[in-house]
Amino acid sequence: MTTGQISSAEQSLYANLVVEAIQIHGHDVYYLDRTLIAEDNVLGEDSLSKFNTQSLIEMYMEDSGGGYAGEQELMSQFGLQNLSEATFVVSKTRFQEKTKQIQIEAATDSISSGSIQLEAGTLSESVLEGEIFYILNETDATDADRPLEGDAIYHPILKKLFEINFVDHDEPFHQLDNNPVYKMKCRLFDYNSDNLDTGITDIDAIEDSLSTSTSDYQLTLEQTTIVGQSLTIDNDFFTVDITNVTSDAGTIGAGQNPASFGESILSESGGDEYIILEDSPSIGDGVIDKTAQNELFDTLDDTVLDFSESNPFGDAGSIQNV
Amino acid sequence: MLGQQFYHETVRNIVVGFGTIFNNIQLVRKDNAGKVQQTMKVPLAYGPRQKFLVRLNDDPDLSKAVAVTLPRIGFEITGLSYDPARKLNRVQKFKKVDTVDVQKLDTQYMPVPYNVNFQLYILAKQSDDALQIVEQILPYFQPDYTITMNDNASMGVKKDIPVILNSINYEDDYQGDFTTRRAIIYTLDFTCKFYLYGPVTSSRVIRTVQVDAYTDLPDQSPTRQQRLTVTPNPTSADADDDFGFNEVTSFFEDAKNFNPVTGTDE
Repeated sequence: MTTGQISSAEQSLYANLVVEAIQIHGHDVYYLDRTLIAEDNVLGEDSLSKFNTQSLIEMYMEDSGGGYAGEQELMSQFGLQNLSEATFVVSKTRFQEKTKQIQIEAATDSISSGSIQLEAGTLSESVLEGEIFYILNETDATDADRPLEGDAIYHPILKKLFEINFVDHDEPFHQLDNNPVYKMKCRLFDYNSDNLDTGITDIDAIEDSLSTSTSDYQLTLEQTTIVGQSLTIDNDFFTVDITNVTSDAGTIGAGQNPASFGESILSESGGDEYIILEDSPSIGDGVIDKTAQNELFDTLDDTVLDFSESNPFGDAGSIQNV
Repeated sequence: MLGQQFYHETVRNIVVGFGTIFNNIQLVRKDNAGKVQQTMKVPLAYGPRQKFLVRLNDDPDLSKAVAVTLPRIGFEITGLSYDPARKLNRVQKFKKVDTVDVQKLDTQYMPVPYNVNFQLYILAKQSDDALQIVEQILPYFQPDYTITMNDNASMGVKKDIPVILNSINYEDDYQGDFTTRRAIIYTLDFTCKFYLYGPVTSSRVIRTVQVDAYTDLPDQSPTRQQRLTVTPNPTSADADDDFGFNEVTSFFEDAKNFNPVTGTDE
């Protein structure tokens, strides 16, 4: 005897029930797409990949018997590691709705953050209802529009960032001849100074607090701080009453070129470009990485090591102590 | 029997010296055009430490959002062993005038040669990061790299301490199911040849030597006849000064003997 035919309506009902169940028992989490920047085809990795888009979507977090799965917090020769694991379940339908969205880049116009200007007469604004509008791809979603290994999930309640290790697409195993969910096997993110520019404060703060990259400490000089920029008054009807202007004669005298005062910024040389460091990030100074001891050893070696004579077979630490 | 308290913090200083070798390793990340996009110093820490301190330092407010920050370097002591090949004459001494009381001379027996084994672990998420770190370490070890240490500060002893790279092991769990974490760990095994020092003994300097000569054997209860006294010249000289000697010879007919308890002739 063959099995009974399963109608698409039943499959749809099944999928909708799953969506509803996830929306009731799940949490809103941020799904972060990984963007590859500099893929190394030899070693098969990308050390500069960044996460600059996010999407809020509901997911159910499978309970693995009282919390996270995995080894959780443990002590190793590298300090504290949290090897917690979790499995997130997302509705295939809901996820593909998100992937079909075209995200409008922020500040693409000059008035508000993110908009597309419609050509006059093509669509009346009064037709649009609701608060948030998306432009949908017309093509149907496929299984290629799935969560991807390497992408990340930020759970705002737990305040944890997870990395997707594996996306299980066939569990539960095709009941009603379809499978309405993706199960994402995740573990806490091994942070590698990745760029996190999602626009979500809590997520971007992870980079601010943990990145050891010196590029995160660059200053951008405002244009108006350029030495010698002249004072301009916009309105022609106003004039400067020189008797009421107090100038610091000791700083800039009349007719002197401000640039001649020699206030300059010494840039670190060594490359084609010069970077102005806000403050040299000191690994191990108790701010960036509280368990690293680089700075501590650098201080202690002043008494432990002897630099009074050059050592042709090793001068550890002497460079920093010049 | 052993109980004289002393602690020169020798092994602790070796840990500092060893850590200093690796505390300034930098790595860069370039884009496909070869332009440097990220530059960073690799965090380094001595691995063994109290668990509660690690937890309190690394995640005091339970807000740590990630598993660990990579790449990073850890190291630990894996063993101590006596090195008979470097054995020194055990009766020779270091001598030094006491820095506080110049009337005293500090002495210390020759140090004992020991080897301490370190393992240095490099954990990275990317192969390229790990290779950059390893490549910046290995060329310096042929197979040793020598640091000059203020080995025993109290005695003013400096020694060149060779740090020898014995072996390199590599672990990359890239195989297996997708849920298993890929950990790239290079383990470098080192031997550090150092010395352990015993206690410092402080004693007063002998500033006067007096020898009494007799003309008969002790059973005849003789009295001293002649005395040779040697003192430094100048008499204010300290132990580490360049000084000569005054020798004075005296003859006696007063039938007295020197009492070493009272320091007088009686």
